[in-house]
Amino acid sequence: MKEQLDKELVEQVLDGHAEAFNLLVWRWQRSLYNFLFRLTGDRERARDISQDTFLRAYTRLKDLRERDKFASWLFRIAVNQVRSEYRSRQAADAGFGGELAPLDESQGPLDFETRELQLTVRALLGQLTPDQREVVVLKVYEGFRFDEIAVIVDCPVSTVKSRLYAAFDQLKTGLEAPAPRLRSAK
Amino acid sequence: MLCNEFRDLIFERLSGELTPQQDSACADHEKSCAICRAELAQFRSITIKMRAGWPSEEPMPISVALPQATSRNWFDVSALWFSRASAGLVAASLLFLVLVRPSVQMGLGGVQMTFGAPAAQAQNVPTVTESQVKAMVQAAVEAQVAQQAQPQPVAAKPVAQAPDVTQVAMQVRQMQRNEATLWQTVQQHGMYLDTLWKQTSENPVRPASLTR
Repeated sequence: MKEQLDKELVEQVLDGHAEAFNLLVWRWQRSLYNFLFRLTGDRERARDISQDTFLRAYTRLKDLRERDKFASWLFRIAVNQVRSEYRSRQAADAGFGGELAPLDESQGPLDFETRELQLTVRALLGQLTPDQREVVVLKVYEGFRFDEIAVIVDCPVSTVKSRLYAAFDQLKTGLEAPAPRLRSAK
Repeated sequence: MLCNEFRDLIFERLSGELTPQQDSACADHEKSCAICRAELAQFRSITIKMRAGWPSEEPMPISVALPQATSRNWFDVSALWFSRASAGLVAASLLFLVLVRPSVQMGLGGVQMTFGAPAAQAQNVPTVTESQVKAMVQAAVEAQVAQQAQPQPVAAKPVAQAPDVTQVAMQVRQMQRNEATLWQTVQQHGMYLDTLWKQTSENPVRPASLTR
């Protein structure tokens, strides 16, 4: 149903109704932003890359062959953006910043256990390699299928599974152990 | 199903991506294998903790400044075609000028335009009137006659000697021959002038004095 709606909106945009793309942005901005936030650990970077991703998607929309696969195509653009930015800013140590990003307490102060869990999860995600972090976020948080993840990260399904398995082994160790030492996370 | 096969499908089992046959095979294996069952439960627990440990946030609305629509309106299209037509017209005009090579001469009689001849060449052609040609021909004829009329250097003869009839007759014959030679010369001049007239192509009338 979601894919069918995406396909209709994509066709409307290609027919010249640019306002239909705003609906696509509205539908996917929350998912894309949270994916990028978990990938980069930085709200500002996530927001900037989200905007760039939507803009690139709009300008290249005519290249989208399978119009019902808009979501995986959009996330692939986002992954490529993150990889490109990561490569260009690697020397400036601009990798994962999740441990330093303040927790979201807009709904009220967090209790001790929740706070500990959130800090732990951020720390563990930050310890994964970028490749492992991509597949974990895509599978655990965004719920993509393996064939879709393979398209997004541009590798075979077997590689996706092996990366996920290795990441889960690492997460298992971290989540079962006592709270890991965290850096000065607020 | 073996443990390796189960572990290969464990994530699909967690996310419900298996076919009904694979799902029932995995369920059967879980009943018989405590290790795989525990691993599945562990992975499920990790997934739940990970989701709880980093809940989704509501982002600030993302505003994307979309570029102008790719479809052009009629004004843009017409402007494009007008510019192309203008460029084509200019190119055709240049090609016409190169091929036809018109030359424009301005004089007292107005503006005169000729096609097909280089302007510089047309300006260099001398303009000769019919009267001038007649005068030139007449001068040439007179000069030839004067040259022929000059006495031939002959040996000194006694003055008192009476002219011989035979010699007079020979002189008359010589004069007739000279007349024929003179006429050939005049004809050659006429042919030259005729060619000159054709080149000027302004007044291709052959002078009447050259017709015999």
